[in-house]
Amino acid sequence: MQKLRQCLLYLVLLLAAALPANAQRAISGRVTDAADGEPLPGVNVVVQGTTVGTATDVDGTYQLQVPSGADSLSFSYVGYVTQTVAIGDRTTIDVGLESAVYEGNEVVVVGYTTERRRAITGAVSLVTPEELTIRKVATMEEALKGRIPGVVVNSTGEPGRGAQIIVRGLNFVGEGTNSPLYVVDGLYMRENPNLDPNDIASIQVLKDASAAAQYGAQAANGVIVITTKRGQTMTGNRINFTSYVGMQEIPKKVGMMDVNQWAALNKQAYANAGLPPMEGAVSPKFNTDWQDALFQRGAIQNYNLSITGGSQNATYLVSGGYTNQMGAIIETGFDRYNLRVNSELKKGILTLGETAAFSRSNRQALIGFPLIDAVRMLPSIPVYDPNNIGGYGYGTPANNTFGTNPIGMQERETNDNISNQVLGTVYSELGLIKRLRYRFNFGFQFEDFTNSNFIRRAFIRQNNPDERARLWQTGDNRSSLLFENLLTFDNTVGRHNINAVAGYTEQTENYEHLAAYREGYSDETLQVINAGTMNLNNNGYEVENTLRSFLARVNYGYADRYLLTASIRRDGSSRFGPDNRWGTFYSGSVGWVLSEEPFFESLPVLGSYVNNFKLRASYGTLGNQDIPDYAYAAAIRQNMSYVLGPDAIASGAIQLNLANPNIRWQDNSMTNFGVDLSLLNYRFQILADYYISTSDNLLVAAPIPWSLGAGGVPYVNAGSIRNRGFELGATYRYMGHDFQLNSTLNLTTIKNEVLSLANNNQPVFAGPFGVTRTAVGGPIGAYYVLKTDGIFQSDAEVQAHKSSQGKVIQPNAKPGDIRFADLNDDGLISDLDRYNAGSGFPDLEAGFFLDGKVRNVDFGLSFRSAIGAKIFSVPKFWTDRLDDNSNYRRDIQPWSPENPSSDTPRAVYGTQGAANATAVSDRWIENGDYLRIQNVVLGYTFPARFTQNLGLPNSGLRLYVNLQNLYTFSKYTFWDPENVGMGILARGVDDGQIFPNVRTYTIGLDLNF
Amino acid sequence: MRNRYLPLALLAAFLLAGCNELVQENPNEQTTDTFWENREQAVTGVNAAYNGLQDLGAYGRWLNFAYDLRSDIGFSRSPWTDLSNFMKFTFTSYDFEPNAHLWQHPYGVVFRANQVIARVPEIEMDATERDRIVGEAKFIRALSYFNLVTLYGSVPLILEPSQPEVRPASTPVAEIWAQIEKDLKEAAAVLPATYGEADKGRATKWAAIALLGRTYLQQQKWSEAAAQLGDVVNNGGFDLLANYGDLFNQNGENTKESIFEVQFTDDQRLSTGARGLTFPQMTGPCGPAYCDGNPTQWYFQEFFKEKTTSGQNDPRLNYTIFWNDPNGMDVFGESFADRYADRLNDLFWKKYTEYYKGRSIWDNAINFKVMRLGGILLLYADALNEAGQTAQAVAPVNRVRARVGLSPLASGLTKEQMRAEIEHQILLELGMEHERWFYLVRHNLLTAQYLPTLKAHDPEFNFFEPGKSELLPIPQTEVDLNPNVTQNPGWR
Repeated sequence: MQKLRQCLLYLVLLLAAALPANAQRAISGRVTDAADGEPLPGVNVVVQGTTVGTATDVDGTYQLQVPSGADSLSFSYVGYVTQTVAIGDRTTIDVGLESAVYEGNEVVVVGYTTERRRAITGAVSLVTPEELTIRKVATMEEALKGRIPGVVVNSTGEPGRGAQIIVRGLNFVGEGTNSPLYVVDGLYMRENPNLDPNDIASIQVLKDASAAAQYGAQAANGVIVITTKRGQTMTGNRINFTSYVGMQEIPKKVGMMDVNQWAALNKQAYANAGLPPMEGAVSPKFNTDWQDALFQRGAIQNYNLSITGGSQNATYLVSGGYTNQMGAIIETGFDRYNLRVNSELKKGILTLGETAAFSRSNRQALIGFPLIDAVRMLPSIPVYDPNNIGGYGYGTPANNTFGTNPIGMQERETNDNISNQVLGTVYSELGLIKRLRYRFNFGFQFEDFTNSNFIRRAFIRQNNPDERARLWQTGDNRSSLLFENLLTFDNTVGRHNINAVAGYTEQTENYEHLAAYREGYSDETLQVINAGTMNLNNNGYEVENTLRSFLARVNYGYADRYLLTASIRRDGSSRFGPDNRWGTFYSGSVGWVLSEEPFFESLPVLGSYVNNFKLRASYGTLGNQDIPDYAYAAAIRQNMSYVLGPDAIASGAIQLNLANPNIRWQDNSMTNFGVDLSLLNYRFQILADYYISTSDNLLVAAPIPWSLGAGGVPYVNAGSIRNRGFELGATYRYMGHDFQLNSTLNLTTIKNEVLSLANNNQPVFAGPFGVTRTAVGGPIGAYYVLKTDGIFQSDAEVQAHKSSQGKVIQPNAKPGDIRFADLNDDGLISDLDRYNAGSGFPDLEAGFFLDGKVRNVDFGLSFRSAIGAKIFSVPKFWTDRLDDNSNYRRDIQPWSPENPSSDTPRAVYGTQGAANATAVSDRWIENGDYLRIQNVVLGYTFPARFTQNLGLPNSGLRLYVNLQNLYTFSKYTFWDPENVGMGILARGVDDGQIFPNVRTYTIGLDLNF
Repeated sequence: MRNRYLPLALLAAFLLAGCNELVQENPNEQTTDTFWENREQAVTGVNAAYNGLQDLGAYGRWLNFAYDLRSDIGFSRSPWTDLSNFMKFTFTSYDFEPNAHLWQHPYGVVFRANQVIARVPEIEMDATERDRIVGEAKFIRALSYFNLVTLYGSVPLILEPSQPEVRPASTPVAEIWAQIEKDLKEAAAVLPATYGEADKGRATKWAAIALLGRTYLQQQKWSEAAAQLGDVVNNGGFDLLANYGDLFNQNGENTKESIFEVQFTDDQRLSTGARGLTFPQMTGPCGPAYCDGNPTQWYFQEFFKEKTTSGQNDPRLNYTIFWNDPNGMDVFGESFADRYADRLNDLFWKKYTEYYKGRSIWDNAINFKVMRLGGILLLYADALNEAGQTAQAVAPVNRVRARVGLSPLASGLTKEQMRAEIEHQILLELGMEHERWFYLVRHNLLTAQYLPTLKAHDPEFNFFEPGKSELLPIPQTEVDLNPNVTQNPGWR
């Protein structure tokens, strides 16, 4: 990789040498605010088509040496409309800049067309380039956090692990994905594209059916359209260098008992069980803090260098970057090298272009459930014990625990996930006849993904099997191709504006998997398959799928006042059986721009304060085909062999999984109502949307009773889910001379309700111990548990806890045990007493951003909050169950005759304490509300004089400090209230495998010249 | 302008180029539409049903916990608290892995057997072989229900290949037993008495008859049981191995004593789907294995009740239990006294461990003996004695005693004395071979009257609740997903 960096440097030098030198003349002038005539300092003044430029001083004046061939100057300033002025013979050019009118002029990609924001009738949100650049984010998802109403991003602190993004609730129940479709420069991707955020120019999110319609079958969960940066025509060559370095840490440590506190409580637990104390608690020899051993100070660094430029007919961008991250938990990390080349050429009626990105990344993933073990392992056990094979400490009869040494778990195993990826598009566009264009787009994605998992011979748990050193190596190869043929028509006749697209698209994907396994490594430094000696094993398979679509879409506008969009498409998917492959889907939307009506200005109040007022409504259906390939036919599983006779293999093959031959398209229909409002000369903007989305023929991997004896879960089309939500984005912009402010508040509410389900509305259970239930009339994944009702203080209370029939409900309970509520009043505590204890989905999520600039200092502050979610805490189950030997939280005070007021039951080791430890109870459920200071940025842009003195005229230099995830206000006992959960059906479950979000401190530098 | 048409032609070409077939055939596997067409597929189908018997909840691992360690001959002090609780009739979740497997895996075998029973008769092939294959599947299905009904009582009875929308209902115990009898009678009618060398391990006619005898025995149909088991003993052509210990190493497989074994192999063939026996790695001695279960002291003492004719300990002791034998006891290459110097009174399970290999791994290559003549002789004696034919029970018991050097029984034992002797011999002969739980069930010993005795044998019975603990709880997921299943009494 050293080599790659050298190559890049060479390329930079080569391009720099090509910069032309010219004769020059001097031009000066003053830049002011067109509205009030006040001077504007710091305005960029650049000679069009060159890199020559400067910035205005405090009085708004500038001086510039321009090359003799230059014909115009460009004046740009944040918050103002960029103005280009012809030079002519003038030597003095004064300019009044207009305050930027954001609303209406942004160009938004909607399917295969680009439209002005003003003319859009669907629900579309965007993240602008400025928002992306102020906060240097390590990932694309980070840029979306809290940014867009209706888009929920849940991340972890694990280096390189993608976040979970959900656009407008859940349309899908099953093992499939709810993730949106990503369209990167026209290439469709179903998983999170591993892009360098420095390369991203803008991100748009298409939320409703009408907007998403053109992307068809994969767009049912929303579309995230990412456009990468390109060179600009008629600009000089520019070089951009950005870099940041910083450190990361787990922001919180759970307060656990030290060894003496632990030993005291452990002895009590044994005494309550009538057992002699455990030897390790009588005379503890160690005092291990497992969290300290597991967590470390992480580090992050990022470098990106890009070169852009363009002539009249061609543009280019070459960009290279490197990111390296050492996780805040030991043995985790991520690094990535990436290179991008984007270019475009126009020649007559033909436009040719390409985007291509190459990347190589390596991720060292978190292994197992180390966070559970970090609180479960006894403080009396050492991290390292040279007497054990492998050198790690673990449970013994004297320190009896079945917990796993979390340090050993991470250290004994190398886990390298290497991805080599090439993705991009090649396109050509022909102006066929007047107003009719033909575009052919070819997208490609090739990815090699290798995973190497070497496990040294090391004992990390009591009764650990003596397993040989072993290696699993997998190689996955994916190639995905996209062909698009599009005809677009564009015409304006008088006040009528029409824009239409017809097209044909096809995507094919081929995926191959190959894995090899060996064990028995006499030399553990030779971590390759060839060095293994025993138990050779391997497997491989291949899948292929095809998606084909025909589509048409028309946008019609009258006088920018009445707007109409209609789409129709027909999709065919190889994932469904022969009779069910094709589906037809429609959508339409209308808009009424009241502010364009002639009468509007005469309206009282509205007319004088409201600049833009648009009402929108849309309705549409989209298909969903997110099921595995070949799921419509029941497969015969090979290699179910037996041994017969003299130990000879007798081949076996049989059906193991059930299948549903009638599986067909899921229909997602969505109705959306929206308002766009701009007030006070566009300073204040509101975008509000309300939607109702209903998914019918839901593709459900409906679990089947175990007695059917089949593995897996067959997909069925049954049931429907309704998502309803309100989204609000409110922005206020203040644009003064020395002070600019941009503040945004985003609110998202999502309410989902299950209307019907497969197999006669059979509920779907998921999560650890089947703790969540998805049932008709309720939300997806509600916790369904026993209700605790305090602690029995005396035998009398045990006897008094009776059903209405007079039956003692918990006759075996002792004082100090948990009283469970007998909700069905049958005199027993059973499964039938479970109740809905909330879910992991928040009622309200909010993001608040405050970005601004005071002279040369810029700042950014953002908050994120979620309210109404509950967390089922598996770590809490392990620390607070008190019938198992774990470490205990410092905050708990188990019931004892001396401490009768406690809400924690008595500590009893072993079977007598099992009832208190029942897994499916609300003891483990906690409030998941939080308010997080997501981001604090403070930057300083050096004045032009300074960089000029450095020998970099016409350049920008900014230094900044960025603090991410600074503080979280939350009542959650464990590390992080924001968690990705265990899939959609068990959202909100903290399973202990989740890497908490880290706090990151970085300092960075942006330089362009 | 001629070149104006060129793009249109290109467009047409692109459109046509894309139009290949949308259908994608699965390149990896056949489907139920293309399978079950020939003899080879019939054979691989039934082989896959046998393969299911290797699953952890079938014969691979957990039955020894449910039948032996849960009974009074074993106990657990596993650091895996939930596993230890399982031996103490206690659950924090009914989906606890072993309980889930004990339910899922036999039903997985039933699903496979049902496919063979439903689909193989349609195949055009040699009729005798076809009937045999269906007979094997019926035996396998019967064996699965035999375990399910014993552990869970009233369970769904599924006799057709499963369909996703079906929610099978709990079936009365008597109907399940009746179906087991029917399957076994039909299997016995078509299965051969023996197989050629290459097919050794498949179910024979005698395996079906022996299991039918055990089926009657568990229903306390003593004379019917005696008739079937007597048929096996007298006409099956089986004989005892000379050395008891050879039954539990790799040399003792598919021998003249063997009636039905689940075949296991070591971990070198995992990629074929064939696996090893894994319970010994869990229940074996601390160190080489995990000692998740141990023999009870009471059980250990049973071995000392009678010396052999030459004045030695019963030889079955040292093949069943690792203990601090003053005459020496090797535990995987190290003497018990050295290895466990700090806990010389501990006892560990030895039977089925690969102690002779010096190293213990998960997949153990010893076949599990589901039925062997040594055990069937004692069950035959039990049936005869309970049917009132005490005198006839002497001969089979003496055959078992003679092999291990015990003197013949004195004549004139009463029925009660004989019952005690048979119980004693079953304990010594069949420890860790699943039989103790079956014995407790058929002799009505899992009851309040006998509970004090069981508590004396094994303090884990302090957690036994009559009316509840006789059966396992049906896994929560089954109850949640299947409205037609009724949870067992006491576990609701």
